[in-house]
Order: sequence, then C-alpha cells, then structure tokens
Amino acid sequence: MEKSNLFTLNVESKQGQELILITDEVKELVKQSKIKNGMCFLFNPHSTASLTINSYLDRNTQVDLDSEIDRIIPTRVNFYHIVDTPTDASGHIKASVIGSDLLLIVEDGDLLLGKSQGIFFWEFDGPRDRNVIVKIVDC
Amino acid sequence: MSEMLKQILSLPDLISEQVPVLDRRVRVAFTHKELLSIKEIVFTGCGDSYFAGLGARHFFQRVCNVPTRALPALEASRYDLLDYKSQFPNNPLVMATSVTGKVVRTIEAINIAKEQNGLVIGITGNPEGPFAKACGRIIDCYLPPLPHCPGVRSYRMSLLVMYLLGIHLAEVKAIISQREAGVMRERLKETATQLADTIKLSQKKAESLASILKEVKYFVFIGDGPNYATAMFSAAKIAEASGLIAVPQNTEEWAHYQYFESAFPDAPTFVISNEHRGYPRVLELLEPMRRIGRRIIAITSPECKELTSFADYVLPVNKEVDDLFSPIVYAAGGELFAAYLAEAVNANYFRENLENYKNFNNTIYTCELMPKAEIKKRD
Repeated sequence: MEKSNLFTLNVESKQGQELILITDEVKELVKQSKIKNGMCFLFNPHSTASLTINSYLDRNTQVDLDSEIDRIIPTRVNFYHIVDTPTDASGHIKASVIGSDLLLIVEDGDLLLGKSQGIFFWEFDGPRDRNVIVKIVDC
Repeated sequence: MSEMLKQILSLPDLISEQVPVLDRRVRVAFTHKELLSIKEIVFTGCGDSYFAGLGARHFFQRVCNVPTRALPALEASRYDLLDYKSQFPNNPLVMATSVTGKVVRTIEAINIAKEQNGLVIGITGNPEGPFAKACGRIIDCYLPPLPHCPGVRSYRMSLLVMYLLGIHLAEVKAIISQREAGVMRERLKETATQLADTIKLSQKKAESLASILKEVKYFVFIGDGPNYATAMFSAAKIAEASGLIAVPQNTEEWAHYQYFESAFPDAPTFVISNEHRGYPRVLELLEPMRRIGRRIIAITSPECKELTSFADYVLPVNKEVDDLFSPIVYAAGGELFAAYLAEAVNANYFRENLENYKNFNNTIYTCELMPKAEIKKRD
C-alpha cells in the first residue's frame, strides 16, 4: 500500500518470540519513495511486538537479546491481564519497554545505519501476521 | 410452528451471536495461575447439563491433555467428589451447570467440591439464583426467557462455554498458539453455519419420519465419543416432548444390551455417527441390527456412505463438522424428530396437561440438600 510515501510492510512471525530482520525491506521502500534526503519513520501497530536496532552479524546476539528480555521480564502466571495467555501478558510489558517506533535518517537515498546495525521486528507473542507502517518524508 | 421447532430454528443465530459474548466471559473467569494448576476436571449437572459435559469432555482430554470426567450430579456429590480428595490444591476443577440455577443436587455437588478443596465454577442462566450463590464464581449464560419447551438453546450455551474454556485453557497451557486458538474459535463459530445447513438438510426428512413413526412407542439412540452425549440428549428430547420411550445407549453397549431386546423387533434405532473413531464399530453393528429387524435411522454425514446406503432412513448432517464440536450439530436430527413427533402424536411438552404432573411441590423439584457430614453418616 502506498499513499504519499506511506507503506505497510507485512511481517509474518513463525515463533512465539523472535527477532525478524527487516532492514532490506525498509531500504527497498526508501528506494521506492525516491526520497534522497529525509526521515524514515517506522511504527509497529501491535501491542505485543516491538521495533529495535541491533547487530545482525552474529545470530547469537539475537539469541542473547531474546534470553535477556525473558530474564528481565519473565513470563509469569500472576499477571493481571488474563484474557489471553501468560506469554501475551509478558509480551505487553516487553513491547512497552522496547518501544514501538524508530526514526531513521535517509541520506543519499539510503538509510543511514551503522555497519553492523540491522532493523529488527521483535515478536513477543507469535506466531502471527504482523505489519510495520513506514512513512518516509523529505526534509 | 411448534415452540420447540421455533427454538431449534433459532439455534444458528444464537451460536453466532453468543460465541464472542461467551468468549469474553470465559477468558476472564480464571487467572493463569488457576488454569495452569488444573490437573483434573469434573463436569457435573443434571439432564442436559450433564449431557453437555459428556459431549465436551473429550475436547479437554484430546486438546488440553487434562483427564476429564462428566458425572451426573448425584454421583459427583455423594460418591466421586466425596470419596476422593486431590493431593493438589484447587483440584479438580469442578465445572457445574445448572441452567435454571436452582437444581439442588448440582448445588450439593458444588458444596462438596468446595469442601474437598476443588476449584469450582458454575455455568448458569440465572446469575442471581441459589446455584450461582453456592458457586461464587459463574459464567453467566442468561438468555431472555422464551416459552417453556424441551431445552435446545441452553444445551448449546453450555456446550459453547465448555468448548471456549477448553480453547482458552489450551492456549494458556501453550499447547496451542494464540493464532491456533483463534482458528479454533472460528471453527466453533462455524458450527452455526453447519447447524443451519444440517437443519435445512434434515428438517423435511425429520417431519416425514415423525409421520411414518407416529405409532411407535419405543426408540433407541446410539452414539459414542462426543456423540454419546448426542444420543443421551436426543433420547431425552423425545421423552420430554412426547412422553414416549427413548433409550440412549453407547454404540458398543448396544451390542451387549439392546441387541437382546425382542419386545419391539422393529424399534427405530437412531445411529448417530460421523467418520471418526467409533465408525468402524458402527458399520459392524449394522448387519445384526438389520437381522433382528430394527429400523435403522442414520444421523450422519453424507460422506459416511456405508452407513447412509445401509440405513432405512437418513437425517443428514453437514459434512464439514469437526468431530470435537460435533455434539452442537449432530443433535439437530434427534431434536427435529422429537419436535415433529410431539406434533404428530399431539403431545403436550413435559406432560403439563396431566393432573399428576401438575403438582410442582413434589420431590422431583424440591429435595433435600445434604451436607458432607450427613452423607457420610450413611456409610
């Protein structure tokens, strides 16, 4: 979907919790926008998932992130949110802690990212069909 | 159109409306801690409320991996729950159903379950009644009252609550993902369409069958697995609607019991079966049924060709029905037949026209609620 450089990126998670690298897909949208210099805003419209930037070079960094977020916010049986599952309840906390948006710089028609940095969609309560909304503006 | 028929025809809309409503109530009925501590489940109730537990219990065993029994309220209160105290706190989960909210024996079962440290919840259409008060915690299944007739709506409400709780329990236990639970809830909701189709397929046939069999006084309904409940429910509808004799039986047990009956050799025998686990045994029993003269009426999917081609009469069921949810849909054939049979024999529901049935101040409806100590004294 494209409406004045507003895009929706479909992300399908396959596991309960996982980091999904979406850098290439976002870069492709920047290219499609034809914007050379501006900002790329990513918004995750889900309450049990987040967006984050981290190293994509070593897969074990993602394993560490997953295990550490579980250590900080473990899935417990005494959450007050009982409509769904315990993992869903902890997923809500994780989502708020990590955050649901990213603001990136577009320079020379590409994202300005560090060499090892990748954009990750972080699923906390999958598997699910998810979306990331991407808005690219000239400035 | 009879009241019972009207209420049967209202079932598909009832199901599609109530699945999301009941789902919201079911999901907040227990904390995760409570759900994750369940090691055993007992369904209990009387009449249709008991049958609903019989129909739904397989879901809990197959999908939730929790041993689940369905017990008539007297067995639950004075025997099973009284004699066995779980070593685990808040166990078993006792899910009791009383649509009217006044059934004394079910209240007794709840009281005993609490004394034995069970976790209790009531399913009731009367959230202010004595049953609700005894339970403390209920899932409200109130429906605006309709004219009195053999219950078909309340049975579906009870089943829906039980299945929805089973789906939620499975997702909380992480046996299925939330996505899979969502799909399962949709499948449950689809029983509304499947039931509408089944009514469409079988209504005229049930009407004409009732006309053919209106002189008959004795009927047998057989089923197994989830549809053992359907056999019980269907037979009860015949008795309630027309006062005739209708006997439910487990498929296998028919061969050990009704097979030897020769008083009514051509007794209409309703064989309730889909293509699942009990079907091969059903097929084996068809020849002896025919040999001893039974008239075979199949309540089945058109996919069960061996059964439909052998039967004298078929009340078709939509072929998409999920085995685990089948009691919701497979009950249509029997209840439609019961409704039309009552019309054909000009029967008043529940014998309300008979003088000796009019006194409600009798021990059928008012009975003694016994506390644990009193029951124990009788040992």
